[in-house]
Amino acid sequence: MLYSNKSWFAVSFFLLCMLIFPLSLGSSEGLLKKTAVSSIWICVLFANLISLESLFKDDYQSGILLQYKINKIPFSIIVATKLISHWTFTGFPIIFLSPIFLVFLSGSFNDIFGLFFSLLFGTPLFSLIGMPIAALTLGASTRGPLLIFLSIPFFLPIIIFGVLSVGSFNSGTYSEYYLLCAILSISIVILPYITIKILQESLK
Amino acid sequence: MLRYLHKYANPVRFLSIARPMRKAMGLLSLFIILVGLVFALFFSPPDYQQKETVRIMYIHVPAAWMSLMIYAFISFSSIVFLVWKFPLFLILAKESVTVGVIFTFSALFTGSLWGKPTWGTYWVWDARLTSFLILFFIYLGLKLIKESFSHSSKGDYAFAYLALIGGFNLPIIKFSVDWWNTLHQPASIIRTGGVSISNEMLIPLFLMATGFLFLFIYILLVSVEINLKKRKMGYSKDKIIN
Amino acid sequence: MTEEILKFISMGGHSFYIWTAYFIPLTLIFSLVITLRSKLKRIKKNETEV
Repeated sequence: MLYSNKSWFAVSFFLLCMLIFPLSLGSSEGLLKKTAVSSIWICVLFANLISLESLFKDDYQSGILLQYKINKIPFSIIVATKLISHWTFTGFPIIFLSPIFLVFLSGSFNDIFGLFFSLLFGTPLFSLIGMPIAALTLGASTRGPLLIFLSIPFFLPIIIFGVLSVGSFNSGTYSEYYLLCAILSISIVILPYITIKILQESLK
Repeated sequence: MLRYLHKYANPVRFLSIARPMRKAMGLLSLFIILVGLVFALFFSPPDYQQKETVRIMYIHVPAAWMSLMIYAFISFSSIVFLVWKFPLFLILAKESVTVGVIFTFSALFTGSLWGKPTWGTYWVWDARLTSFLILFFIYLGLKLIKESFSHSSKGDYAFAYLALIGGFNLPIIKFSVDWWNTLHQPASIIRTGGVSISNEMLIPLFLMATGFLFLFIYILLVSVEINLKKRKMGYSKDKIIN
Repeated sequence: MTEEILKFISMGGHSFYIWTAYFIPLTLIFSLVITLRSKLKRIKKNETEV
């Protein structure tokens, strides 16, 4: 609530990244059409990387997290709130913006639903996997670059399955969606718990 | 098992067995690696398809085995540290990162050198190569997080948790890369199967692998001893003696 | 004799790949060993002085 003006940063960064692909790949429609889905996924990755840095940072630096701990507010509530708010301000708008940008990047209309569903399962995973990494870099000396370096390897499976799932949607096989759902259901059980543990350690 | 861990998790007692073991390991690994090199370079026959380049295998495959084994060791020790809070296991995990980086780099480097004469390119986006590159980046991440927290004990937990998350994620990453590879690259350049290893090739391979294993143990014992001595002398940071 | 040695070094025309593949990893690992050993020695010296 205090930092609400920062929360739109991720989405605006996503829009800005969109500009890069036509400009760097050239305006030839054939190439853009082929790379449209991959470009959108890359932009989603960038937007998530940018927004991860501010996930716990302000609360940690201003001591609010410590106050929560002193007032015995359970960390599970804090982590759940953080997760939901992070997804609503980065994942959720992107899901609804991406079909529009698919058109801008001259992608085919057949991909719209496939992209929609892959982002629907993929963006919560970005928030979920990013959260423990954002928590464990709290207090590091060069946090921003470290966070980006650590989180990209863990984001790779989501990118792989996300991009592939769009292609499989059109061919009628949904195997990548099942895989994304499987990873999502495992992560949603384990990763918030690990985040709580890490946050408790970082406040000792 | 647990009682055994308790007994030797004490740093002083650990040092008392580490010192004689370190000397034995150092000599043994040097001897085995030298014998292995002699076998690899002189006595092993050239492959009938790959000719002499098959000799790269004797350094490439053991390095790859070691880098996987060291990662498993790091996650195992981190879990032991997180569950039972033995500080010794954190030191063991932390000190094996640098060796792991070197072995992973060696595996990638020799692999690409092996690839040029056999496949015609230095690098292919093959599933195994790609997942090894990702392993290398995860190792680098561990090394970075180890170094960016040198001031406080917070870094200890950050390191252990990162190793833990990485340990659980690596199979998923490996699986996803395999999946991606089978769709993107139907015609793999690497020959599947075919090469059965003869005994003459197995001897240097086995020698180099054991030599590298003992060398890893030796390096680990030396760096743990350095770490424990520094702690005893009251150096909190690596900066003072470097 | 020298011919045999030269033949061994040339490794069937792949000398560059094989010798670099052996040289660089072993150099890296043994330089790590040497730096660690010198560190340990320095620490032991400091310990006896203290």
